[in-house]
Amino acid sequence: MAETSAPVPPPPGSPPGSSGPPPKSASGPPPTRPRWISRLPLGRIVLGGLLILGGLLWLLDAVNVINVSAGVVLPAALILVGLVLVAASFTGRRHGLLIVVGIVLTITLAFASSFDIRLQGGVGQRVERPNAIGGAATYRLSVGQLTIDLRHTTWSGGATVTASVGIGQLVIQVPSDVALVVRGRAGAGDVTVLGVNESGLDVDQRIAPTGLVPNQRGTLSLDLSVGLGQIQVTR
Amino acid sequence: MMRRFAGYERRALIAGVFFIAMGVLFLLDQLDVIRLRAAYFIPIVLIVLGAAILIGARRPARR
Repeated sequence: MAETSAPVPPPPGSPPGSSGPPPKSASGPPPTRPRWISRLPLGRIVLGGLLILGGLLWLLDAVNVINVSAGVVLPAALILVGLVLVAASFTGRRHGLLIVVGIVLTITLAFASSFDIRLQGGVGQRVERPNAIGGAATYRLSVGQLTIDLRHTTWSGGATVTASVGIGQLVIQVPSDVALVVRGRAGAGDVTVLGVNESGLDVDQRIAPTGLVPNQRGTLSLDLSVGLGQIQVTR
Repeated sequence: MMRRFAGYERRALIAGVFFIAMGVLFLLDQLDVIRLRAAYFIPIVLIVLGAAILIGARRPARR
């Protein structure tokens, strides 16, 4: 007992104020992390930070300050969780909460990828009524209902409209006098083009041509996809 | 390097590397650089999980 509690005198020639023997060579016992690093509640810090960051991005997207895609944010969050876990593994503590967050993100993204759910373009109910299309137009929605009304849209020499909804419903209303080429895909769900219906998993419906002779507006090509949900094309 | 610090958590390290790899794959899929399909993706995940369990079983469980 007396040996451990007795102060060790500084070696001769050492600077004033220093105490104890000089550090041993590299072959000594491995260094340990400072205790405050080992005690950091990393799981809570990362989860809290991700929620704040996610909320901020969503809010800024909602007020049209920036354009954020969940298809980029969620994988980025998973990579961040992985990086923190790798760094945290050297603290020697278990980080169950971080692993749970990573598993939830992995399952969500695996589900999205399996059913080809494109998480791009916001959330909610949106109606698009373009006045004119200059050759091609693209519309995307992550979750919700996207209605594209092309009945009064003008174009010349043909047009291509590409639209996707991750989870939800995609409704396209087309003019009655235009020739159509349609491709409608659904990871799981229902595709109805001009009354022709297909449903199930991995639905890929192609309709071309529609029987109408292309007029001066040319042919309207629709490339439509939905991850989970419905596609409806009506005249 | 990994063994320099006493008491590193191997499970956290494996999980971290796995999450980074999956995050990169999902990011590339969402950006349409690659296309992950359930028919390829789920078997690969099962193989990786099985390999991780087998590697973990080589070491006796700590008490």
